[in-house]
Amino acid sequence: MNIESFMPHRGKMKLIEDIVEVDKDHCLARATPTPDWPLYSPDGISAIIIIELIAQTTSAFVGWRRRHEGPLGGAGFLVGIQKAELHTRYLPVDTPVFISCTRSLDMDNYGVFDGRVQTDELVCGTASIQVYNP
Amino acid sequence: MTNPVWYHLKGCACDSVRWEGFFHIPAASPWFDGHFPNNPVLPGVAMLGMVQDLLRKSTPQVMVKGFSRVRFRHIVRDNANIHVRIVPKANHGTNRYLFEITGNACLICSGTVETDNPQQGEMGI
Repeated sequence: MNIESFMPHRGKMKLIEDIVEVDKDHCLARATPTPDWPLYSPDGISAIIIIELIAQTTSAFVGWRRRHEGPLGGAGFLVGIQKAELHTRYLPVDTPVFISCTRSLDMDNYGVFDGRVQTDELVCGTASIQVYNP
Repeated sequence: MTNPVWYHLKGCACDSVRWEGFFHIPAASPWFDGHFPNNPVLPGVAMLGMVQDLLRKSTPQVMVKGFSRVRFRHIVRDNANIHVRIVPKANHGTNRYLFEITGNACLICSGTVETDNPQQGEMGI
């Protein structure tokens, strides 16, 4: 699946590399941290990046739904974080992470999406984000 | 190979009751590399990273455990100057802090950050 057809992120700031599965209710994406990522240090990638991973997965999720279901609200700019919990200091470099995203609220031009980032062994963090499509 | 400059910290000051930092985000910052093509917008996570970096100026090993009630109110473009201010949150123990990010006399972002232990202050550059 060509993820670039569903999201606007490019270059260094395109962190998601693939959509693993997606349907009208959820999306699962994959990414592999590298030293080129934002918030990199020799210890790894600061776990704060989890919020961007969830935002990008949400963007791809809504892009996919637009393609399959027609115009939708709820995608666009990140306007808020209701709550984010980080369970680790760093994401390890070169270890794939999986990002799941579900919609918890869809309105005309506003949406709330719940996301989780995990490796094969560890839930790294969760966040509930708010997006607005002006 | 030189490391990319994500932002410039122009100055900061920390004591036991507040952390303040002045940041410049140049147009060449990798934060704008593809975010978005022909429409540079500073990612919200970049601002949260600056909050973390400012806290680490006084306590380098601090762990950010989470954020809550974060509102992004204005877009930040390239070549921006922003001011980050963090203060302890009243009546919530000693590991929750309110932060505000301002620029061009506007409130850009606000929220609460939670850390793993109380912060230490008293430094500046």
